[in-house]
Amino acid sequence: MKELPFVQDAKEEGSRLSVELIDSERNRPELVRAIVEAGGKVITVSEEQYTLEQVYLRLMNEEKVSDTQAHS
Amino acid sequence: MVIIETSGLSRRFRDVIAVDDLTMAVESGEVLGFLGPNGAGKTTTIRMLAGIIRPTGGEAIVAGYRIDRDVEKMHEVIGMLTETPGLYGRLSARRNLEYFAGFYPIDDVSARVEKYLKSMGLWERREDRAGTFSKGMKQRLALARALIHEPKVLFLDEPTSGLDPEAASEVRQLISRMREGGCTIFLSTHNLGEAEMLCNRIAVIQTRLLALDTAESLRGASSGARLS
Repeated sequence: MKELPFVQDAKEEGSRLSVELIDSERNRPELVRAIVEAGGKVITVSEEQYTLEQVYLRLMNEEKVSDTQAHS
Repeated sequence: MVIIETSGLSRRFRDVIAVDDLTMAVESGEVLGFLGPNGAGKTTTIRMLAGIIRPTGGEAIVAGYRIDRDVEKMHEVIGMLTETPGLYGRLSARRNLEYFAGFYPIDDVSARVEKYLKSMGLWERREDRAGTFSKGMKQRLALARALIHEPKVLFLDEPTSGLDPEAASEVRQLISRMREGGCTIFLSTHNLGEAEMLCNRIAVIQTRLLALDTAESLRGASSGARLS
């Protein structure tokens, strides 16, 4: 799943899957298609809008990772 | 019209880079939220843009003035509120504002002081010493001080920090009113809700600029799907 170019992150939660997408609106159908083509079944799809806090924390984490990589 | 423009703005303190290569533009009348953790360079950026410290790299123009050349002229058209109110505790609210108004070419100081004491809800307490005020009242008086010369650009460095929820809410309402009045506001804050409520756009900084967009676009740039 994470190998798909428009998938930033994916987490399995039992029978559910939370997927973080680049350009969610455009890539949601692509995601469903990829799952179905891989033999999976999709019953429901819902959009999850991130809060500013989640966006902020992600930016900070990305910065920490890039800082660590730059110093290693 | 762009009123704040920075290009590669940087500040180094010996070996420590506080602000790195900041390039951004703020439109006139815009409220820009400046978010970042402690030590991210928010206050250093504000101090550079307000002409208090000089950048070690890059340049910036604020309200038409270069921050490294035209500081005195720039100070006539910018206002600033720091984390500490910076008032004279032994002077009354009215005398504080009259004193700070004296730094600017204001025709009718009494009328101007009255206008801002009233707009900050401090008129009834105008003869009381600032030192007797609550934190929230001091912050409102400090806002009046920052606005007394009716600046084009207002820098607010964590204006609700340390205030109780009611006082913080009052200060936010005042900022919101200033926004409606067309003042350009550069608002540094830790409070994401405050940034989302008050700001047209939000910049996220961690020494360098990580993102700059509307809150809606920032949220939309990384939304997700839940499938079952």
